[in-house]
Amino acid sequence: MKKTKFRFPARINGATVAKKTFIYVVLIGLCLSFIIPYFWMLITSLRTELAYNSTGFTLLPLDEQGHLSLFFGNYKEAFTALNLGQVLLNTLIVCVANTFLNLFLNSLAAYAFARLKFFAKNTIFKIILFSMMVPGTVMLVPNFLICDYLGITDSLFALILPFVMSVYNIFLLRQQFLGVDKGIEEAARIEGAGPFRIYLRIVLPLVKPMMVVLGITTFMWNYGNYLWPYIVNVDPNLRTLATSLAELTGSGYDLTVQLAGAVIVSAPMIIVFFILQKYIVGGTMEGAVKG
Amino acid sequence: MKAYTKQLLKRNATGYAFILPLLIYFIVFQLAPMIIALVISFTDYSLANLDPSFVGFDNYIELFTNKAVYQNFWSSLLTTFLYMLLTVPTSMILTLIVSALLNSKIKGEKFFKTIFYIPSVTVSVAMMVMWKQMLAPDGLINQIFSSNIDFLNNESTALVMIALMSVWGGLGYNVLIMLSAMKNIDPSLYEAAEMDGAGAFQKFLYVTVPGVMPTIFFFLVTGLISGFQVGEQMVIIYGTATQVGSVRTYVYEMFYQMREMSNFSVASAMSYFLFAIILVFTLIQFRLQNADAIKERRMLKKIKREAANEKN
Repeated sequence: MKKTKFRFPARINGATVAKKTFIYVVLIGLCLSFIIPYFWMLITSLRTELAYNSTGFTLLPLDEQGHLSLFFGNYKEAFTALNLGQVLLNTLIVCVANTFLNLFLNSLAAYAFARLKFFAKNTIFKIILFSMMVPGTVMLVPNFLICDYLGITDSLFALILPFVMSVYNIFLLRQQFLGVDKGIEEAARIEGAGPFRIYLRIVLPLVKPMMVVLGITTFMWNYGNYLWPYIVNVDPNLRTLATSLAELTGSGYDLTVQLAGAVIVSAPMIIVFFILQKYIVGGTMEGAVKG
Repeated sequence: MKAYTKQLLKRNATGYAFILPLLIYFIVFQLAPMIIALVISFTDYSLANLDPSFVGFDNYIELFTNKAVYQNFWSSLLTTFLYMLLTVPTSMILTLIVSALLNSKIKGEKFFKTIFYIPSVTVSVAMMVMWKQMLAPDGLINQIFSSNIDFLNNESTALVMIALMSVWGGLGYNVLIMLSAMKNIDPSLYEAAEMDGAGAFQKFLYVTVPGVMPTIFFFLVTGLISGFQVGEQMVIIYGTATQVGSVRTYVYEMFYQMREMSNFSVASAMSYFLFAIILVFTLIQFRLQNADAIKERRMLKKIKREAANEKN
C-alpha cells in the first residue's frame, strides 16, 4: 500500500487561486495550440474539398449543406497517390532490418568495449566515438558519393547499410554493460561459456529495457527519415512513406487529400507513442543527458 | 611463455571479432566517404563532367568570391543566421517559462508533457504537410481570420513561419529536459529565497534560472549546431528549386547543388565548410562540458582534503 505523506492544507487565499488559475489558463491555451492542428488535420481529411471550401472555419466534419458527415474518398485517393502497398512494404523492410542490425551489431561492439580486453581498445573507442559524431547533414553528400561508388544507389540497401551502426547506441549500451554485475559473467566463464555465449545468453537479457528503448527510437527514426532516401533513391518504387508523402504534397493534390496522406503516414507513430510512452520518453532523457 | 602468447592472441581475436562489423562500417561509411568527399571537393566533378581533374582550392574560392555563379552562397549563410536568431532565443525563453509553469506543483503535469511531445513523434514530412495546409491561402489560419495571405510564399513571412514551426515542434522535447533539470535544483534554495521574502518571479529569476544554467548552455550550443543544419523543412515544403529566396538556407543551397545541379564537387566543398563550422561549435560544447566536470572534480577533492584535515 502506498503511504501518502501528510500535508497541512495549503493556505487558500485569493492570490494563490488567481495564480493557479493563470497558470492553468496559459497551459491549457498552449495545449490547444498543439491539439487543434492535429484535430483540424483529421477532421478536414474526412471532408470533401467542396464542403471544406463552402463552409468557413469549423472543427466539425460538415458537408456542404452544413450537416455532419464523414467522407472517406480522400483516403482512397491518398492510398493510390502514395502507392501505399509498395511504399509501406519498403518502409517496413528498411525499419525492421535497420532496427535488428542496429541492436545486434551495436550491442556486440558495446559489449566488447565494456568487457573484453584487446589491443588498443580505448584508442579505437575514442577515435570512433569522436569521428562518428559528424552530423548526418554533413554526411549527406559524402555518403551519396560512396553509395554511388559501391553501386547501391536506387536500392533499399542504400537506406539500410549507411545506418546500421550508431555511435549513440554503442555509447548508451556500453554504459549499461558496465553496470552489469561482473560476478554473473565470472560464474558463467567458470562453467565454460565462451564470450559470445555470455554476451548473448547472460548479459544481453539483463539490459533488455535499454534494448527496447533503443529499438523503438531506431525504428521511429528510420520511419521518418526523409532527406537521405530522397537524395539516394530516385526510383518511385523504392520510396518510403516519408518520401512518398513529400512527393504527394508537391504534386498539386487537393488540400483534403494531402491531409489524408499526412494522417496515414503520421498516425502509426503517434499511436505507438501513446502505447509505449514510458520507453520513448525515457530514451529521450538518456540520449540528452549522456549523449 | 608460448601458451601465454597463444592466449593473448586468442583474447585479441575475440575482441576484434566483436567489433569487426563496427570497424568495417566505420571504414566504409565514415572514413571513406569523408576522404572521397574531401578529394572531390578539390576537383571539378559533376554530372556534366564525369572525368574530373584536380583544381586545387578553386571550388572553395569560387564559392566565396564568385557572386555571379554562386549568388546565393553568402545570402544563404545570412538566412541561416537569421533562422537561428528567430528560433534559438524564442525557443529558450518559451522552454524556460513553460517548464517553470509545469514545475509549480500543478495537476496534470504528465498530461501536458505528453501533449507537447506529440510533434516530436510526428513524422517530419507529415508535420510539414499539416503546417503547409494550415498556412495555405485557404488554410486554417486564413479561415480563422477571414484573410487570404499566402504566408509561405511571401518573402517577408516565409522564414518566420518556418521558425515558428520549429519552435512549436521542438518545445515538448526541450521542456522534458529543462523540467528534469529544474527538478534537480535543491529545494532548500527555494525555501531560503522564500525566507528572504522573494516572490514567484524573483524565485524564478534568482534560483531557477541560475540552477539550470548548464542546461541553458546545452540548448544554446545544440540549438546553434542544429540551426546550421536547417534545410529539411524547406526541401519538404518548397521542393529543391524554390523562387522564395528568403528560405534558401545553407543546407538548402547544398542540397540544390547536389540534386538540381548535380555539381558533386561544389556540394562536397559546401559539406566540408559546414563541417568546419559545426566542428568549432562542437568543440565549444565539449569545452563547456569538460569545464563543468573539472570544476566538480576539484570541488570533490577540496571537500575530501578538508575532511582529512579535520580528522587530523
